[in-house]
Amino acid sequence: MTVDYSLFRRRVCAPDDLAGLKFDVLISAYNESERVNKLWTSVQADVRIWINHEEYGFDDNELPSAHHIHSGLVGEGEIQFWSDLFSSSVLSEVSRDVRLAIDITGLMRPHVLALPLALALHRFSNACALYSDPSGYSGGSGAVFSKGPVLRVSAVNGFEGIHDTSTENRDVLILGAGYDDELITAVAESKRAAEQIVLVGLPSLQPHMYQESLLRLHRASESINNYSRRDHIYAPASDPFTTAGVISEHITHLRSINSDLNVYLSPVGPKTQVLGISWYYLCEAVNTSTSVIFPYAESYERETSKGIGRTRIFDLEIDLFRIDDYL
Amino acid sequence: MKDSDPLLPKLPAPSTEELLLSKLDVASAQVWGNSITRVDIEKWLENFNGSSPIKDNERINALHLLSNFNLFGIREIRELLRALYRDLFRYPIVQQIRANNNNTFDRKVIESAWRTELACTRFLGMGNPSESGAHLLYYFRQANSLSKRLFIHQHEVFDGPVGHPSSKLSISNLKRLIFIDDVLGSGTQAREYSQKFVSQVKRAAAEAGEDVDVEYLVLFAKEEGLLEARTLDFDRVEAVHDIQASELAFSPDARIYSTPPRDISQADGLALAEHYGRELYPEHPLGYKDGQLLLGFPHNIPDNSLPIVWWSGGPSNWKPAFPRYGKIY
Amino acid sequence: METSISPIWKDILTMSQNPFEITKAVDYTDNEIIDTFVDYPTGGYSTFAAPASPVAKFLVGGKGGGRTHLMRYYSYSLRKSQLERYIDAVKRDKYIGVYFRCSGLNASRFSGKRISDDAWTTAFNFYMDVWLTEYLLNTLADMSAHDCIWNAKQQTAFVRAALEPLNAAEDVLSGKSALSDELSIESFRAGLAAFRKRMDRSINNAAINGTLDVQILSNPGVLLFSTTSAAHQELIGLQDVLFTFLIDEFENLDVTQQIYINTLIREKDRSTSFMIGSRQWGVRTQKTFSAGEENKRGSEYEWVELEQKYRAAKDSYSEFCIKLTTARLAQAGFGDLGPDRLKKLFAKLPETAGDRFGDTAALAVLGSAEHISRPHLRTFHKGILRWSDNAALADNMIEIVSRPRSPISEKLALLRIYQQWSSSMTIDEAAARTIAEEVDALRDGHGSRALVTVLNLWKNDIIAQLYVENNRRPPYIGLDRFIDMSGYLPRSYLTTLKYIVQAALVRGQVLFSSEEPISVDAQSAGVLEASEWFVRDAKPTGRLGQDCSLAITRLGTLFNRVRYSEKPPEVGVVAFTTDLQGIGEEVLDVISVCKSHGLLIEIPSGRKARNQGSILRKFQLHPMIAPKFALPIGRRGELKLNSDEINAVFDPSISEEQYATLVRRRIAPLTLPFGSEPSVMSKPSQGGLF
Repeated sequence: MTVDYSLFRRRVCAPDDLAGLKFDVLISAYNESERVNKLWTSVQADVRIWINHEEYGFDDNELPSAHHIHSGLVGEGEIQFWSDLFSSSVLSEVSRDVRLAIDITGLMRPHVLALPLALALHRFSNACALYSDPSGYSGGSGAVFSKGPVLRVSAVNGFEGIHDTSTENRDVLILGAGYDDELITAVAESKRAAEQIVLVGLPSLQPHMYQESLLRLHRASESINNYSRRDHIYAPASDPFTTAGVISEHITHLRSINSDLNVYLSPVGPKTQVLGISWYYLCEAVNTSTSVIFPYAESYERETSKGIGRTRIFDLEIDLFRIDDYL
Repeated sequence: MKDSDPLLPKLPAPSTEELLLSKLDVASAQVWGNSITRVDIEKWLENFNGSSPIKDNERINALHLLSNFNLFGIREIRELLRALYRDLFRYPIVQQIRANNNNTFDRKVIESAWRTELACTRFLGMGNPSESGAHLLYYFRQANSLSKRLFIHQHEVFDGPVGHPSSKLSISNLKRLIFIDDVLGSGTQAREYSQKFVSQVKRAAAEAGEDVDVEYLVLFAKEEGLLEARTLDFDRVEAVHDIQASELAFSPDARIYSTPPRDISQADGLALAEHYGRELYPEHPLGYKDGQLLLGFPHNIPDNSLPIVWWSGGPSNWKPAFPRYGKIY
Repeated sequence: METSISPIWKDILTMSQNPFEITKAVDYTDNEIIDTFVDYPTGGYSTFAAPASPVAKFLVGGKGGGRTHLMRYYSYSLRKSQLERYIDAVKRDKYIGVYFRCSGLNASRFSGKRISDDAWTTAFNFYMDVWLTEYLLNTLADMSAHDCIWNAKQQTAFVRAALEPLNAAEDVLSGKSALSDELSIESFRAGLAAFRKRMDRSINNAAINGTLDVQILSNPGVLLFSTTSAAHQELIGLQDVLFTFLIDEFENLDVTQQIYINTLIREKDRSTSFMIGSRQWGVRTQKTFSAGEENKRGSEYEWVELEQKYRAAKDSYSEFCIKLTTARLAQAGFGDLGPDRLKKLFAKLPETAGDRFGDTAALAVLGSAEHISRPHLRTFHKGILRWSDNAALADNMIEIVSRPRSPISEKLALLRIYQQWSSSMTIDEAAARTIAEEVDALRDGHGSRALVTVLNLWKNDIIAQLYVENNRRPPYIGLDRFIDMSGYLPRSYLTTLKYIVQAALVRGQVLFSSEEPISVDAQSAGVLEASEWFVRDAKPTGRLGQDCSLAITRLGTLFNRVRYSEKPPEVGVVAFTTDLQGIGEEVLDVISVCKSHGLLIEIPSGRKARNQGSILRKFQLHPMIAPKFALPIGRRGELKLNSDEINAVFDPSISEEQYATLVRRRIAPLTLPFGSEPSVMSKPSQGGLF
């Protein structure tokens, strides 16, 4: 491991203490959940921007008024999306060391993935990501998430690797699993020849969620190669940095055996896990034989969680990335 | 039949019981390491002889409770113990080191400072060595590849009998004592230890002009337990998992009854659990100090969990679903 | 006294007990594929899928059809070590199988990022040449390093010849070092791989830079074919060896990308061949870039559908499945079982001596309730009563038909009665009595041949009806049934066995013992799970996937209502026929996608020319789906559907109401009282009405 991921800062804030958080700019993706809206109204910020994801299917009259709203279109690249947002009239003027907070709770997963990269490309140096726990998911292990069919599984722009053609070693796919078994199935099927390792959130966000996620995984298990609980790897569902650390450790170990191993990562679990995969990639995997792939669906259920638990705050110390490798 | 009714195939609708049994099949095979078969479940269901107020509805209500049980296996416990060490113990110390060193990322600096901190720390279990705490410490040490020297018994902390006013701290440079436990339920046990032991540590430390942090780190904690324990002499009490009210079987917003299957209700479940619970464990029919937990570990089922799940033997010769290898006080 | 085993030990003991846990080829190493390969009976796969053939082939089929297994078996990496020198293995085979999967290309990278489609096409085409050449060089370098047969001079000549037609490419691609003029296969390979990786970098970074910066060094196909011909000419031993590119997972390429491969197929030289593995729906086009020409089946390529091959030799497929099963069980330590012992591992329905009708099983289903409360008798009673308004008649009819110890006799008699009622639009006690007596004669061993036929034909459906009427799912049991159910997809067969074994395990049953065969209940439960899995798994991605799901549910429900009506029109209805007239494009698409994804099977013999030449087409619900709707595995009868009915099933814009109405209309004549007018005998006097 080249980076000690435990050095990155994270802290926790109770719902009643949200009003004490202060930022210059707050960006959040709109949906109807309590945890997204409670945070928006409680936190202090001079400039606030809502993101409206087309995948949620909100009509104009369902969106909140009197705030900056930036719309994201289905099929638009994520890097392009963030670029447009960061160079839009509101943000193009602000200085790059502004205190920027992005609530990732409602963001689409590929956009969470691309966020740290975009922040780095646009030279923001003082950003943090926020994520609020739900207090439960409605529907238990029957909860439905992606509403529309999975359209395609593809590598995410900015996270495409340079792969090896050796057929001696099987590729490896690390699936960051959550509740959505249809997404897991789609990804597993897209890399049928790979050795497939499931990354499970443990500790889970709530004690019962670990077991529920395994029950959901079972529905996808026929599609996962050689599925066995014994082969799972674990990282806390709420902690992107430890997630990055666990992935890093695992991949380092695999590559110590096969140096030209092709590795695919797919973040289909909680947003914090997605952020963790992004973090790992940007710290260590740029321009290696590692790609992040994602099952793009057409539309998503607007919100499936109830209540608001704790809010987690992650300091994004972006200076560590090797961004120049891209340019 | 109205024309607007959906046209469904002629198929037997699976009964609620069959649905719950299928859910248990999957849970057993996928999560619980095949630790319970339909034969075992049937034996357990035979305990319920129709004597409770809900009579004919006993089976499905019992199955509903069982299907929501969270049984963590060894792999999971090891992982949670890893999380306890990494996230509750190590992380704050490392962050402090970073802050003290100009926010450095220099691994050499951090590593050496960390080693010093670890060397001044000792881990202990709560309770008698033969209780589940000892089991846990073993897994904790293994999972985190720690040296045996960091683990002590309570009596090793002092050079004389615990509680004797002249007993001094026997470990030089001791900065931290960390108690490890699996469940913090009501906080009763924590209160006992705080009064008998932690207060003594604080006294001895103050007399020696030293500062010893005493922390209580657990895997699972109920809110009431955390509140209680945090009023005591511990400097810090943290859990890997905070058990919210919604996790308890019979709380008003119990998660497992928010959308129950047909013919199942919280009132019925409560009637069942109380009726038989009273037969088995009269002082605590819903688990120790009204625990209401549905939680189990490979080394033990905590007695805060519903007794109907773990009780074994007794006058009615109760067969457990998951046996608890009982504590005898 | 608590005796349950500690969870820890149970975990270890049972975790690896299911010999059918692994159902996919990918989980096998190369050596395992060699060791467990079961060649196709009667002649082997090479009779229709020969890798050393210069004619390009498309191997298409459903998931789990065995394509990947076969293509890996043909690949160089698997075959090379069969002889001491790799080149000898290659010469013996007369080809080198260069295998790769299209999913490794991550071909979705070649789109979007605000770069034009044309730029992507040009980039992809050259990238493909480089990729194929790189894979070829991997095998040549491997052979060269192991066998040491080609000296420096030959290798240099080879590389020079390969790069000669390209402009100034030698510097870029050959891996030539500054120190010497010698070129080698390995240096060429390394140089080309490095070049390809530089291309990758540009392609990946286009999203960030906004520009696509790739070097195109030759025209399409030039690099690839000059390398293969150079290998033929300069590398001794390879003159008569074909370079066969085994391209798997073709469905991962989009239309334009496939056009390029088609172009290579069309323009290939004598040293090269192609075998393309794809899902049925995955071959999107036969167009090429060669002056807009399309490749033609039988001309530029051959089209091989493995499932059709299996289907054409049904017994061979059965034999194949049994071999797979016994191999698995032997590997798992359950000994060497032959087909007969294998079949005995699965319980049958309860039987007693002399019970030709299957009454033992039927009585077990009905249980100990009052005989006259048997659902089929109650339905009959209610039907007569409603129709005739005559309680005495209804009671008599029950008397006539009633056979307490033989429910099957009752059901058979009722079937005949309903058939007669439906065709004569009436029924009376005399007719019922005649029928009941005929059934008695049959039971006593001297029934008419016609009735024997009827019983044999309808027995399965009758038993299934009995189960469903008594609120149970019908049983699916027996190895032959599991083989038939798989629809010629070996993986589906293995998955069914996997779920059955799992169901036996949770029921605490002993595995693979003929003294304690796997119970009927466990078999049926496993089959049902496998059926549910198949429906989920076969569902296409994208928008059409949901439309197909809905269509299959509607079709399954229709067939189910027909099977469980009082008077099914034919036995074993799991297929429909249609002339597809008056059906819109969108609906045809849904049917076509259902077919290409294996949810429907088209039955070729269903084409009958009718007046004016409109052709009748026949489609069967895939047998893996049948258990989900309690339908039979084997296909017998069919329903002819008119255009309204086809639309009701396959058009997603048709509402549930409209669908329900159409179906009810269809099953009304099959349901009591079969459209007959209320009995004249019972009509109250109508005096004074006219």
